[in-house]
Amino acid sequence: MIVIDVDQQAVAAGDFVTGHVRWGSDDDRRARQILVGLEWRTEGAGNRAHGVRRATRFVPKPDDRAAAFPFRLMVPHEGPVTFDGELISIAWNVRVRVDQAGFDEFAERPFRVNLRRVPRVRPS
Amino acid sequence: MPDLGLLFGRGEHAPYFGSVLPRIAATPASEGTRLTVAGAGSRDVWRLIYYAAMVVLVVSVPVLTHKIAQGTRAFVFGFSIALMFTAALHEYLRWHRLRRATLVVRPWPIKFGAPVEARFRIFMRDAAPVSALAAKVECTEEVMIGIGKDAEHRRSTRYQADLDCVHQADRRRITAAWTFIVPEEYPQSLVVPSNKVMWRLTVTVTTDGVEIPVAFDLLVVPEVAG
Repeated sequence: MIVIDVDQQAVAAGDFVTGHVRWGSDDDRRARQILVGLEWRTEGAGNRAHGVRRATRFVPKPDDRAAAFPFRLMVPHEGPVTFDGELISIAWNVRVRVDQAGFDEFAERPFRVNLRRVPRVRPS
Repeated sequence: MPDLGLLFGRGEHAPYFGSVLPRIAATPASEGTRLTVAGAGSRDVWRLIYYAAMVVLVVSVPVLTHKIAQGTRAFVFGFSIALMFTAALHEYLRWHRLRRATLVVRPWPIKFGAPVEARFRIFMRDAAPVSALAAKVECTEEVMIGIGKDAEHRRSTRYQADLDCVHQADRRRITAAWTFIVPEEYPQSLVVPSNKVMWRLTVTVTTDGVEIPVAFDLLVVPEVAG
């Protein structure tokens, strides 16, 4: 079982997404590593594309059958930002993979990426 | 940082790790960033190649099969070749008139909500007179559906704004300038596999009744000014 808690439901491009991941083994299998990443994904009429630019790894102790740890990952400044278009939409997820013997476990938690607001620079 | 590909299972498409912004050839200039188009753009060059290929095909098929038609069929055949040749010549002349066009944009990259100054210059061959100039900024979504020869391309215009055009002309070049704002409710520039959001400034120059479109790709980043 994987539970992802995200502190902010919406962040700006270039900001950090913070939260916690909690994992507990359902069948006494140990986790070799737990990977957490920020994934964007296209939806809509075209072929699907998805990408990831930032990820982190947590390695539980060999005897542990449960783990809880925080994460802090930056959304790239270049985005892409979340939007719903006519042919293309972009969605973001915190994605977790628990690497273990046999089938791995996956989980996702959506969040939004908005435009970054920067102060206007006046020409001197 | 761990191997990013490990986040995904075996049955999933390979993730994309590259930049999501388009690569646009630009050079820094004293007044801003300069974008350059030589000729009437690669799309017109491809059209020329297409016409040339069609002419070669039409000529080569009867020669290769040794079945040169008689009477009406010969007339229709000759007429179609003449039409194709005329169209190819027309395209060539249109392409040939434009020597070079530049657009100097400031600021670069473009932020939502910030006034963008664009200065356009076009250099025509043989001092061809320009009778009209029209410009527009548009945002299009472009997707590919399927793969290979069955792939289908779809395009949808999300935003389009005509720019007021007052141009100045001297013997060799025509200039125009505009200021516009990219509204923040539209998407940023995006290029990922099979999916694109493109911002373009297209200038249509009319010379001797022939319209020459010149398109400049713009880079709109996910930032809002102010």
